[in-house]
Amino acid sequence: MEKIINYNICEGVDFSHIKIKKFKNASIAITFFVPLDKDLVSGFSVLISVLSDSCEKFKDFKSLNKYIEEMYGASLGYDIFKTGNYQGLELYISALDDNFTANHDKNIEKIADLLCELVFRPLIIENKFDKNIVSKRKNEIIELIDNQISDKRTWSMIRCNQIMFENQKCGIPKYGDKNSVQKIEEKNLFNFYEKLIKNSRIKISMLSNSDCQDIINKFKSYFSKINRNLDFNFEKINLIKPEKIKEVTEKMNVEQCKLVMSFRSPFVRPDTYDISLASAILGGTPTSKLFMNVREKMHLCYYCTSVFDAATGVLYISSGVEESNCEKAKNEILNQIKLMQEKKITDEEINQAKNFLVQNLNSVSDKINSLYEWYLGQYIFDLQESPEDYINKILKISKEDIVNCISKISLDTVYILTGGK
Amino acid sequence: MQVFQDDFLGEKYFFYKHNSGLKIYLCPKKDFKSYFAIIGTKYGSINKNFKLNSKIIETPAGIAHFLEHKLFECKNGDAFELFSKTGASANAYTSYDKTAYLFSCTDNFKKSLKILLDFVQEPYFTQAGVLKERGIIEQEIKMYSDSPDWQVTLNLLKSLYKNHPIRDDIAGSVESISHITPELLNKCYEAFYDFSNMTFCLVGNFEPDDIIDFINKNITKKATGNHVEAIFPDEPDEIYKNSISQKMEVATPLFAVGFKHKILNKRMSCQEIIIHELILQILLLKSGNLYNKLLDKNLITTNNFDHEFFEGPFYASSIFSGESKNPDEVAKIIIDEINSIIQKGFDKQEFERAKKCYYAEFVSIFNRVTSIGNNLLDFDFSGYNIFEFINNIKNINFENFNSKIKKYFNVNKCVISKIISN
Repeated sequence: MEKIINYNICEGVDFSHIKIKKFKNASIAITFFVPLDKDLVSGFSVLISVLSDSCEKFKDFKSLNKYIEEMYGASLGYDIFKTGNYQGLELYISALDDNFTANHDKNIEKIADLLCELVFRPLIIENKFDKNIVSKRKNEIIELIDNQISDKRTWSMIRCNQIMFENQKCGIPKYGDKNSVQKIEEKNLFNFYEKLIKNSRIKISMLSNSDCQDIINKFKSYFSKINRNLDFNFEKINLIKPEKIKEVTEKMNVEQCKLVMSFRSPFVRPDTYDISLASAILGGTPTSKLFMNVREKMHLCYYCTSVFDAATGVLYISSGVEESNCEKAKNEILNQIKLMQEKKITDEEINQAKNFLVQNLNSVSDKINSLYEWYLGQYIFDLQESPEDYINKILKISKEDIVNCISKISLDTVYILTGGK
Repeated sequence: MQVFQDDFLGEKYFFYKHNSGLKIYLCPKKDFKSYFAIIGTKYGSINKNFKLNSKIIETPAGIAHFLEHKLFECKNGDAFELFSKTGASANAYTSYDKTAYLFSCTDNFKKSLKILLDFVQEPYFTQAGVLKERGIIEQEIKMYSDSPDWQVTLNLLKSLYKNHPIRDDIAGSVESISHITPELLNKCYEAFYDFSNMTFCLVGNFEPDDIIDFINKNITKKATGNHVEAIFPDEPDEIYKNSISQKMEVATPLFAVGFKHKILNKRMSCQEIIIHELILQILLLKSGNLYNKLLDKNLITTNNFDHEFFEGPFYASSIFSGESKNPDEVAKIIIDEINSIIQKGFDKQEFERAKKCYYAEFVSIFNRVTSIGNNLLDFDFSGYNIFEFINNIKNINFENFNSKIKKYFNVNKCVISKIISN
């Protein structure tokens, strides 16, 4: 069983230690949250990539990675994501736990030290980052932006999201845009660094079997030298309602049409228990209404699934169908939602979806990533909830609750990516 | 029941051979709430042609995958529906050389286990069921047709191999699956779903003896005594063609550079696999020459360069893949680096670092019940013991290793596959 230790390092900087014995790996991550802002999002994306490249102690990518490989191939990486109106920027390092290295090397201390080096002692000379590194990492972010188009299923979800949230904060692309990335220079990147360290919300998460006090002290000492000025709190999203349903069809050289439908709802975390269950009944399991009808009964597709985004309150349904069947699939999806709104949900469907969600929640503590994501989610939504607490809420949901919440969703955007043959 | 254990890792598993021929691996994990069960047969997309009791049978491409879809259909409904009642997450997959059925759960584990054991023993193939599945699989095939990642590898294999059925897409084609009938499915089931061709692995919080009792009670199918033999056409050591390119909607071209290894008449030994993998590990070290040369020339980014050692019955190749503005230049630099190592040998420190990285990959398998189960199955099908494999990685020495690249890599047997934008 894991034990969670929470510690406030300073204003807006929180540390969590998930103390757990059963894994072979230990990991540490620092996640910075900043409000999504189209003028800043690209700079922060380049910055987090630059911070993962090198630092004062390891001045180039090669020497940094040599050190990491010595630590039994520890993995160092960065991630850029969106949650509601915020951009998340993360640096993480994972390595074998001390017990499983040949000489019981102190890997955990080493990865924590390394993370501090990367974050607090980056390679900056006269308030400038290294020109070559910045240029290389700008190219990397531009490729990330460009290459989103490759996976058509994901790309159609991204497009639906962009269309739905046009001119809204949460519609700003997570990596930013190419033009803004091009404008980043080694000098102005330093301003982004200052802003990130001083003004962002910061969550440090550590997962290991060892004690964390020394590591907490290390971060405390570094942050004591920084003049922190946190200038925002996490706020719930307030979406702008469209005047009419947006329907957009785009052409691309694809064999199969990708259909994405997004539905807005008034539910954002923490009030998302009912709608998550409703989403599971609708399209979250291999016996969901969409799977059983759009795939198994009508044979229109291989996949037809629904996912609910608890940060924005949006339910997405996505499927891959023949172009000639697109309208049929769309109508059936709407029909299945209508049936749920008309209370046509069986007790068996409810119990099966509950059972499925409960077992997923029960397995959170068996996966490093799930544990880590669970507690990061708690932080973002300012909750203190264990998977067991969530399970108890799910088990209490009635049919009326499900009908009530599914009746409050409304179609916002229909996005179709087609080969147009 | 045999016990295998590794005290350093603190891991152990049990092995038992059931009288039906089924091989059983049980890995108790007391501190996990999750269970993972997987049952697999050595039957994949490459087993199109085979001899069943001396009679040659030829089947259309994609039939193993089609059978996987249809095995979920039972007389009294669908196995997915039965799993839904227990709350387990069930799935299945077909690869080039195997088909596997699996579930994970935290509750009602024995009920789910019974469903798994039942449906693999009771095929129910009907004409209506086959027709229904055709539409679904056609959409699956089209979904993969739109995936540049998948197409770049598929095209690579089509060019590396001349006759081997690895050239076919795992799911077949819209045309090939139109020839699949319930009779053919039954024939394939009879040939490859005999328990003597299958392996079962279970990971979670259980008592091994209790599971063996449970399995004994729930396996009703007797060994058929059928003799099945996979048939593969002769495959030359040479590649089929050295370059292939396809146009798709991509921003940056995708590439896969593959080196075909000598065709052997048996699976590679544990040592040989480790050596091939370690060669790739060294070549792709982030601190290494090749990686940094490609990065410095802006030919790759840190997110998009990967490798795979791809080995199975009568095929083996080493593959480098990723995205690059100039795939031809990437291929040239990879070949130059291999040539240079063939002449100068490897750097010993790089070898030691790559060994550590490779070792850590295998230790990390024990972080998750799913990866333990999947690996126990893979290791059984390849004929290795996982602990022995990990210890072999630790013990491999530089002197034995260093000369092997000359033997294994021939830069004339290299193919570049590209996906370029329209």
